[in-house]
Amino acid sequence: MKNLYRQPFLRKIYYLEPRYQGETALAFAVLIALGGTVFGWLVDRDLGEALREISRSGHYPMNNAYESVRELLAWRLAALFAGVFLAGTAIFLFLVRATIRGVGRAVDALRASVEGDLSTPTRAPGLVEFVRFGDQVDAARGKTLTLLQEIREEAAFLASEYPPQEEFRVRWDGLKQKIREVAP
Amino acid sequence: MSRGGAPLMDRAFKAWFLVRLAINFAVGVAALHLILHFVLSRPLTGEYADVFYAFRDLARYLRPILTASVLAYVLLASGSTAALCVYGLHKVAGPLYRMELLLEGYLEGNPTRHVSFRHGDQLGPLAEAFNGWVGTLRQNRQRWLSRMEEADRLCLQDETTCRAEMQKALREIEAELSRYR
Repeated sequence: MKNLYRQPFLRKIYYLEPRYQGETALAFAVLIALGGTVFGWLVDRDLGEALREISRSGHYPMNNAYESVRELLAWRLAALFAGVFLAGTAIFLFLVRATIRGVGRAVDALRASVEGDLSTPTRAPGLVEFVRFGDQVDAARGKTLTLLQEIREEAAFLASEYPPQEEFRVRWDGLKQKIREVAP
Repeated sequence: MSRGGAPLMDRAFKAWFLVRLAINFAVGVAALHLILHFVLSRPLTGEYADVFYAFRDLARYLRPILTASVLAYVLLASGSTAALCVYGLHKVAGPLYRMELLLEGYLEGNPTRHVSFRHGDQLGPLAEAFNGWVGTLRQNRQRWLSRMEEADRLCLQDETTCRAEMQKALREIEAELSRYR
């Protein structure tokens, strides 16, 4: 007998939703590149000017150029970190909001299904993943509703009409089989 | 927050992601600082004219130096952030993917198992809502079948009682099903 506990370790797959994970990574990369470009442009302008100014001044008490531009550079670096982090936080919070709104609608639809509402569309907003997921939830609810309606119609027919005994028996067994198909 | 239940995404997860993001950006900025520090902190040696030319050359070659250092920063910070997005957001994408597979199976008529996510996964209320729905359907299914089987048992008596019980069971099932719309 195969020992399930001795099977080789299966590698976890982390990259599952390219549009969700990949596009978020891309958004952060664009943000970092944008921050770096602005930083480069500002430092090129200000640091270049400062270095030219020092060379023109003719007064060189420092041991290296860094001593003269340390403060200027430190402020630019701090601004780069703060700017990129704040914008990154905004991107992340937007993603969290989109996730909560999108998946939250699917959760609400499933909770409403417990009460019997299987037809109100999920209408998950936001990212494509959540819209697609909402459609899948709706498809599952729709399939269940169709089956339940078929069962109801058949039950109503058998309860009110009086088909011959043999036919009644066949349809009665068929109905039981149909009921077994609910949430298999 | 999902209405009336646990949050879809934990506060701890959000804080964890933001801290990692801050660390990534800080490491990138630190690397950028290190490169610029290395370039700018070369000692100014020689005569007065040498220092003058050293400053002038530094100003002249600042743009390529900055371009290379910013590029290194972008690659480092973007690479580590991309890894964070793939690994960190897997805790959201994973449950979503699992639910998609489950729903596909449900639509194909495969037996549906109780959904449970891994430790640390987000979107817990989604699994609870799905389990709640399927659980209710199964309870109802069992009740309807039990009611029909009870009517079947009464068929051992006489034909009239049998038919009456069956029709009573069917009316009850129909009434219960009328709430689904």
